[in-house]
Amino acid sequence: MKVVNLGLLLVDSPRSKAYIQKLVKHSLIPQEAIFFAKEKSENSNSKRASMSSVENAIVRAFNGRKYFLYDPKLKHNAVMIGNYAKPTKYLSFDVDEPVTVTLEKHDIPYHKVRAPSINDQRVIEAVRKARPEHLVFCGGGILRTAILGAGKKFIHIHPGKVPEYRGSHCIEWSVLEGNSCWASAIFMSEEIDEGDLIAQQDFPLPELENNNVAALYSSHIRSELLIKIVKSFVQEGSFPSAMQDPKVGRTYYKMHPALTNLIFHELRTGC
Amino acid sequence: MRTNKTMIFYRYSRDEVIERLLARFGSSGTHSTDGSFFLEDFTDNLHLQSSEISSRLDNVWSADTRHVLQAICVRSLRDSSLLSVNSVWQYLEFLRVCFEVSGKIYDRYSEPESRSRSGSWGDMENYMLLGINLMFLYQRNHYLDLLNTILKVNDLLQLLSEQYLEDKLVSLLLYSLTEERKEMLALYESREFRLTAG
Repeated sequence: MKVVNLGLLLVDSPRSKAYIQKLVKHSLIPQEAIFFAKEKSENSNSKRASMSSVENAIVRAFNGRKYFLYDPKLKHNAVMIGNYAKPTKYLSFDVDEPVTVTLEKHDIPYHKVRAPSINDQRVIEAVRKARPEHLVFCGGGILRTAILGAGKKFIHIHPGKVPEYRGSHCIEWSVLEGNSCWASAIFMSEEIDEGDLIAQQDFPLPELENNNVAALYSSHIRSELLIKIVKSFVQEGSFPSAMQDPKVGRTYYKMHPALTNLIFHELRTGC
Repeated sequence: MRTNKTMIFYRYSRDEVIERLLARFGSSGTHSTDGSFFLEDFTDNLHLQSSEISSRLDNVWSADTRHVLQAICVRSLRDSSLLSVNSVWQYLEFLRVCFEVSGKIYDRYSEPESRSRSGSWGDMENYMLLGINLMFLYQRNHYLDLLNTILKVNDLLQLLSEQYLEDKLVSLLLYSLTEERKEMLALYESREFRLTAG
């Protein structure tokens, strides 16, 4: 086992699990980790109290990502759309093993930080105190100026080809528009997915057994590219980087289920 | 041709709310496939003069969001080339991103660089007009990310419609939902995927 001069900013997510388990599997032990556990903000209730009823309803609908929920009869169905069965493909990691269990099993030192936001001062302090120069970002929110300026370089593996596909659900968007699948390793900057490029790789289109495969496949391909760049970092002692052109490409947002269904259809039928 | 549950829910859900709105509008069973009737009903009642529309379009970062969106909507109906004007396209894209990121459309915005906004985010007309203007854009260029935002805007409006929809906005929401459904049917049929059961 080799201890790599690299840290991880982990959260409780399949992506975090894929990253830490794959690193360990390849005998690449990160020097330390920060585990960010999100807790409810104390002032969220007072914020709600100052909103009008329609403003409140808009916030609740947006935060709940409610689709097709007008009719109470549809609630059950809509919930079912969100609760996909666990697929068996692309389980190159154990999605049921908690992140902290993996860390403890392999004696990886970690600091658990409870805060309402990943940009909270407590998280920033933990980042400042971390020894590695590079921290791998594993999700948990958009990193703002203060945490990005805390003296570390954050590495993000984006599930899409930059600069063409930036933002959210880029596997889905690139399959829908171009029938391809990519992951890109980048240094994080204030503009989303516009940071310097470390490496990128194309992957085969996912084979679908149910609608949850895309989310799991994203963790799978991201972790594959992570291993590749960390191995290169161990050999070379640094990460390569190339600037992106911010004027090229488009930023995408979460895909509505009515469009996601087109992808499942086309992947299944090979259209 | 294939079908699946999500699309049946989509079709059922939209059809059901369109029927309810048609009943409220007083024309149940008529005009259900011709959305333009509903939009004309709304824009005619605005009584916007050409000079007023031009003034709003020349001052998009100082006028109320609703006034700018109304002006874009009315002018686009007469002259769709308006949507290729940079300032108009950029304004709609700015609001689209605001909605995608926060779910909110505020009453007023300053220049994008200042990131300043004010007023409430509870005006449903702003959401409807944004969705409709994005639909005009989508019908010109068929960028699927525009249709993606339209679906989300209409989901939100559908959810809010029973409790908060004012009578004067019923025709606007009917237009928005019928056009979206028409475009979704066309998209699915172009990819040999049907939206009906059986």
